[in-house]
Amino acid sequence: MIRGTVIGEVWVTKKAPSLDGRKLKLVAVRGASGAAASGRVVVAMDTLDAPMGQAVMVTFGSGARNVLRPGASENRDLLCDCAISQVIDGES
Amino acid sequence: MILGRVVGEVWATRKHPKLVGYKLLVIRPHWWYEPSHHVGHLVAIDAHVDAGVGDDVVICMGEPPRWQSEGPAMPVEAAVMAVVDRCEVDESAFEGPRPLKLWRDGPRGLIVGRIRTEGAEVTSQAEPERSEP
Amino acid sequence: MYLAKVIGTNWGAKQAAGLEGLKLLQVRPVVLRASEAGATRLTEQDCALSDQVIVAADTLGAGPGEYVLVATGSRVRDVVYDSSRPIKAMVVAIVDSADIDVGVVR
Repeated sequence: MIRGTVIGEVWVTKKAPSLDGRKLKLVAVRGASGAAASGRVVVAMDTLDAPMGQAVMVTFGSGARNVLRPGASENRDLLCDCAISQVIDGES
Repeated sequence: MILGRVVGEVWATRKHPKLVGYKLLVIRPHWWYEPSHHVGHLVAIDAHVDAGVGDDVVICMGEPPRWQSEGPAMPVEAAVMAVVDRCEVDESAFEGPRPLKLWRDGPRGLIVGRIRTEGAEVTSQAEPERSEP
Repeated sequence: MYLAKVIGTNWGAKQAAGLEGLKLLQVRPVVLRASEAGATRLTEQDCALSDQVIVAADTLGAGPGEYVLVATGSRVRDVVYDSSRPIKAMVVAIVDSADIDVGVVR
C-alpha cells in the first residue's frame, strides 16, 4: 500500500458497473519526505469519502477489490485496481 | 486506475479468440504511471462504456480486465472503465515548496475546475477547446 | 498491451525446453507522440518506433513489417500458453488497420 494526498475528484456517467454509487478521487503518491516525489497520480475508488487535501492510504491490485467487496473468489471481475483503504488520522 | 485520452482504435481479424467482439482502443495516458514500457500509449479493451476518439477515460489495469467476459480469462492488461465528464484538481498541490510535477504537460484539456484548499475561494475555468481533426 | 512492428525473428538449437514449438518475433514498440508536422492522423511513414527491441512469442503467424498487439506478464502468458513457458511477452493480435488521431495527442 502507499500513502498519498487527495488532490482531486473525477466525475463519470458512462461507466462500468463496479463504479455504481462510488466516487473516484485523484491521489498524489507521497514519498519519504512527504513530497510528491515522482509526480505519480493515481485514480482511486473512494468508499470512505475522503475530502480534498486529506492524507490517505491506497491499496492496489486484488486488495483494492477487497475494499469494495471482500472475498477474492467472487470479485475478480470487479473493475478496480486501486482504492482508498484508510483515511489517515495520524502517522508517527 | 489511470486517466488517459482515447486517440485511436485498432482492428484485427487474426487475434486470440477471447478478444473477438471487443473494441481495442489506443489510449494516451495523461500522467506518469510507472509503465514497464515507455511508449507513450497503451491499448485497452472496451467492454462496458463504448468510448470514442477524443474521450477522456479511466483505465483499469492488472487482473480485472482479464475477467470482463464469461468463461476463461482474456489476454489483456488494461480495460476502459469510464468516460470522464469532469475533473477537478486542487491547485495548491502544484504550488509551494514541494509542488507536484506532472509528466508531460498534464491534462490541460481535461481539468475544468480548480479548487483551492486554503480559504473559501473556488475558481473554475471554461473547458479549453479541443483541437478538431 | 501496446502496438509494435515486427522486424524479424530469432531461433536457436540450444534453448530452454519450454520454448519448443514457439515462434519468436523481434518487435519494436510504436512510440506515440504528438505530430510535429501538424498532421492529425498517424500514418505509417511518421509512426515512430522505439529503439528497444522486444522478443515476443507468436502463434498467430505475424510476419516482418506487420503491426501487432503485444501483451505482457505471467498472467497473460497463462491464458495464451501455460505457466510452464519461459516467456513474458506475446502477440495477441495482428493489426489489420488502426486509426490514430494525433491531433488529440498532447
